[in-house]
Amino acid sequence: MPGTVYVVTSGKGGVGKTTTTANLGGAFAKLGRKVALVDADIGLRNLDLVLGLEKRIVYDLVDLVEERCQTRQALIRDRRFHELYLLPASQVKDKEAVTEDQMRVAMRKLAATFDIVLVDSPAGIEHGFRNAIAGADQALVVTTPEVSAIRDADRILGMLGNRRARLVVNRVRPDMVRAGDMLSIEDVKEILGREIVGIVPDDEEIIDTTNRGEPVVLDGSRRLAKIYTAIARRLLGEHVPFANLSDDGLLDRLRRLVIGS
Amino acid sequence: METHGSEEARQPAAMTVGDAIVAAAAEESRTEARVTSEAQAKNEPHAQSGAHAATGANIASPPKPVAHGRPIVITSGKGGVGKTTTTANLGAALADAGQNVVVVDADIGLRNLDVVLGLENRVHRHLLDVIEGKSTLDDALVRDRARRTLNLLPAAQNREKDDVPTDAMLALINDLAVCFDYVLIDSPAGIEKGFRNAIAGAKEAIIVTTPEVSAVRDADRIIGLLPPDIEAKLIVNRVRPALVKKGTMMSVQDVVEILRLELLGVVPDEKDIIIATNRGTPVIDVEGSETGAAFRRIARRLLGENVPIPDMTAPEGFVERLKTSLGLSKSQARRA
Amino acid sequence: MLDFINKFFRREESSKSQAKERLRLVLMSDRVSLAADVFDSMKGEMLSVVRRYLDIDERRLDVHFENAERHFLLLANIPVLSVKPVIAAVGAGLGNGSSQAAPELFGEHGTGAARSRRRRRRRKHRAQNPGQEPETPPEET
Repeated sequence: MPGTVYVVTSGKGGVGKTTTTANLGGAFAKLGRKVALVDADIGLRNLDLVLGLEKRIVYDLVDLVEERCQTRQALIRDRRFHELYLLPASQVKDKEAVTEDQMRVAMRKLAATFDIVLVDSPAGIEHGFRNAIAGADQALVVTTPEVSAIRDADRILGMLGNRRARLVVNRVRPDMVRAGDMLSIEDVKEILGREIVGIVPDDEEIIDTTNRGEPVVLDGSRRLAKIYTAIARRLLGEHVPFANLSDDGLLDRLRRLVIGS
Repeated sequence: METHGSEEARQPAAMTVGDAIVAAAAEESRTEARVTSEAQAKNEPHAQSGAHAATGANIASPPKPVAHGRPIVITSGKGGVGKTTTTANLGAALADAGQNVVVVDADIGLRNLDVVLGLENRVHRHLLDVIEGKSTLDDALVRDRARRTLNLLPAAQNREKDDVPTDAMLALINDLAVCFDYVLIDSPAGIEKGFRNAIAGAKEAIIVTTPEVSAVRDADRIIGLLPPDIEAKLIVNRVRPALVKKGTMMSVQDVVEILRLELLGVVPDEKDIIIATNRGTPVIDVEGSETGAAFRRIARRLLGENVPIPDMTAPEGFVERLKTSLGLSKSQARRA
Repeated sequence: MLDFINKFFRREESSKSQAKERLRLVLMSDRVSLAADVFDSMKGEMLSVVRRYLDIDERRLDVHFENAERHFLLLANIPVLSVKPVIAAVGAGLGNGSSQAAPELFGEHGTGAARSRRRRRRRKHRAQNPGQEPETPPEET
């Protein structure tokens, strides 16, 4: 039974595709699945950096596709997790170096040995994006509750063909939603008309963890770790109710008041 | 449309050996500064990819009207760092200062400059229509009603970036530089054709980054892909002084040291920007917005004024702030 | 000026309501332009329905989407040359004695509503084709 290949995409850049890929991958691994993360952002790779694996890259996706190495040589094992591997992007070649057919073949190969394959798509709708979706069965479209991001997400949803596409709404700020300064989850659902599989609050912990190359899911006690785990479980078919973000926001604010930021 | 650019499209322009050495040396020093250390020695001559757009001026052409305008591309590599917001707000601020401005949305297929300026309902024709001769420039330009010297050339929404030949883009930007004082080109994210088209015709570049590792890394890459004759400066966006003080976020100084570009400005992160985009008004119009004020200062610097860059993380004292901002602005220019 | 007034009054709305409304409009425009061929089919289908009842001037026909300030419109300017004789389907809503299904069936005079409809059509036809005699619908039964 081959694994499922998900493309993590968005249209708009900077909404959290790479962060989502890294943390969701980690969450799946912690749930016991064998996971491969593929950085399809050839020329502007960042998945390695977010995972803290940048110093271990020897071969990359282009090497694999051009058959200069075996799959097991290109995959970097992240030993902090049970079974999590990274196939890095090439930093040097541009996106025309890989064709859609080559991607399809490479992703089929990975799906044969992994339970879950997450493909981190580049921003935009150009060649790199088309490559990223080429080998994917399903799509996770990441958006933030902002006008430009939603507009781009809508566009991307129209380019995914028959693939099942679900939404991850990132960088939600419950305080702003309450004040009427930010679109709510209901608004996003209404506008884009797709199932929402994840709601992730804006959290400065992400900056910190990215700086250090330690994905937040490593610490199961953190709020964000629980949220990414919930997303993984929903994708695996479980019914997991969404956390009430406002409550956490209140607690955080109280904490900040006491500790003084 | 000028056709002299078509010769260039057929082959990359020849570089002298001297140019190639200088370009390769620049690439080497950039590699050392990178966070990543690559195990393989793959030294692609990056300079070549930049050469395509660089030499429009070298090709002999019939005398044409002098282009007095400044074509400036706003780019970043990483998406979502604030290119479109920067383009919109700088455009608006320059228009307020009496300049004749056109902001060009080069993000074909994923346009957003119109939405950030609140002009989305008035878009009828677009950049591709002009290039393909289906529309005059005049018909495609959307003039802002509040700022009569601010014009938008929208992107096409339903086409792909591959549809625009680079030489046509070059010609269009040259034409715009004849009619306008400032031609601000909003580049898409990435390093693909869309980016290459966005830099075609630009004489200056504003690199936008945030103080986060991925953004800085991508900015570094993009700087390496710019042709050597484009003068590049840096804007550090979404700075959160509280996080910098805590040590969670890199400081502006850290970013400048890594990228080694002249700093054009620093923009703080605020809710205002989300609210302003919701409403479709530039954040410089939001009363009391520090983000808006920062963009206004940057516009003044573009116009040649010497406006010190406030250090947002410095202690409150006036003297310390002044000293620190002088220190910041003495950062070395990347290319001698 | 109108723009400024619009924006001033909109300030009473929360910014997110403004965002939502703007998105609603802009997405309609984007989706149509993205699937231009699909909407061309739609227009084609629409016109084939119209042609069953009316003879239209194909050359001066104009059907398009338009972005207005607060609305996204489907505009159709369809010059009518003549109204076709209607051949009603037998059993289509007649069995229950309803006279709404095909008013022409009830003869020249028909129902009052049918009469005013015919008058309106003749007026419209005359307005669009000055000097021409309006066609009288052939008598049924």
